Amino acid sequence: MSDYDYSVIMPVKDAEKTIIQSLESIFSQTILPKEIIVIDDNSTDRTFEVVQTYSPIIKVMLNPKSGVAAAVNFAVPQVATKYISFLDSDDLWMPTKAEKQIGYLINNPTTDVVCSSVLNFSKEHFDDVNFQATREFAPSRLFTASTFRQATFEKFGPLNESVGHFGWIYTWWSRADEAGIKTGAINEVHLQRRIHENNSWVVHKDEGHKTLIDLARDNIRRRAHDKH
Amino acid sequence: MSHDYTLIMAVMNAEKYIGQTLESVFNQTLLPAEIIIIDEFSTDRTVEIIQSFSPNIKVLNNIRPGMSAAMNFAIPLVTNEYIAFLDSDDIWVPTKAEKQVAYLLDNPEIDAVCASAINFKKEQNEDVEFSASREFAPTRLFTASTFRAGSFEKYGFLDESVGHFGWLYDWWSKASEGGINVASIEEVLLHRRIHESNSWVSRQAEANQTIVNIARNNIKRRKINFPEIK
Repeated sequence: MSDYDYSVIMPVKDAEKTIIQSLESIFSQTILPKEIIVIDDNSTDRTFEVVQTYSPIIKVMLNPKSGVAAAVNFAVPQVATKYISFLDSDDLWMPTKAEKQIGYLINNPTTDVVCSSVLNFSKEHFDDVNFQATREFAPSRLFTASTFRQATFEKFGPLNESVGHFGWIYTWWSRADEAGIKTGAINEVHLQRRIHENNSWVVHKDEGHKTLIDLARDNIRRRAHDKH
Repeated sequence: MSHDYTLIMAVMNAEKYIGQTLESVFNQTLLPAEIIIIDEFSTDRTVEIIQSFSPNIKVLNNIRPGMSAAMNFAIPLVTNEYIAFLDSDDIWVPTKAEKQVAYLLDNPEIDAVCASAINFKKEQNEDVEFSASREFAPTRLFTASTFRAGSFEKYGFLDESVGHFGWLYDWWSKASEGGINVASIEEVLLHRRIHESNSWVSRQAEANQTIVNIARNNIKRRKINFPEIK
């Protein structure tokens, strides 16, 4: 056991094209994870086999339900380490991501989660250049750019699985903010996000907007209820 | 009839001007019922300055990268009737909120109301110099407007995939197609600070490319078939 023991949770679906690159970015970390829990959302390509044979520290499991939120909720209670981080099957970590973020949490014991800056990149050519060019962003609380304490999920609860593909990130952070979550940030790029035509905000745009509408309505109802 | 409005601001390392900006908010003849500020993890004194104005200002950290994501995070949190936006380097005229909210109260069929803006240049923090300024007719800058909160439910949230310069054009394009009713007040209610780090100055090429992309999107969405060039 080391002070730096952490697990990586990766929800994946039909990712055979990019998953190896993502895994390589984990195995290039200056501090390796204790385990990688890959939750496969019933891929129809070779994702499951590719991942299973890659390394003995990888545990691959089928998502008992479907969706990212369900995958994360299934994986989090299985984590046996103090720290948890997340990675998507098309994104890449910078080599010092885990070391610096866990170091930050060790030095700041009252911080629940720490995040870092993000670099968007686009490796493929698109006729319709409708995407943000390669560009650096200030830290934001993307799960994939963050490291959490396992206790953070005990404190602030699991993800809401009923609010759609986009909803869970908004609902989880809104509730956590109300409950006083403390987030730290490192102003250094630790995540590279691949921008492509199949990014969920591009493909599921309408669903994304519908989710925000539902959240707004819920919030209005909840606050009206609190006032009475 | 409620005059309550929420002010939404996205900020990052804005210590130089945020104090003046917030002063212009707290000098409003109609104060906001709520202020939500999305801070992109500023490393300077921005948050400290914000908190010195009022402990009731809600300061939250962004959960996805970019300005449009910040606004999509904040808008669903609003429970008031009206929403206004302000940038961390711009200044409202004291009657901005009062006039725009009154306008929306008097005109229930209007979704959003905008106003004229004046550009100003200044280098020194203390010495506000409006002489190099230029006045513009009303424009639909978010920071010069007040919206009914329901407008975003009706016409959609901001598209996070079209970039820093894209969301504003994209949103108004779609809202116009959806039939949004916009009115304007022919009076300067916003002072816009022009400086070298304005993103339109520092990232001009990206901005221009974005506009081309949005135009292409609009053509595609509206299914406009231009004759092929032979």
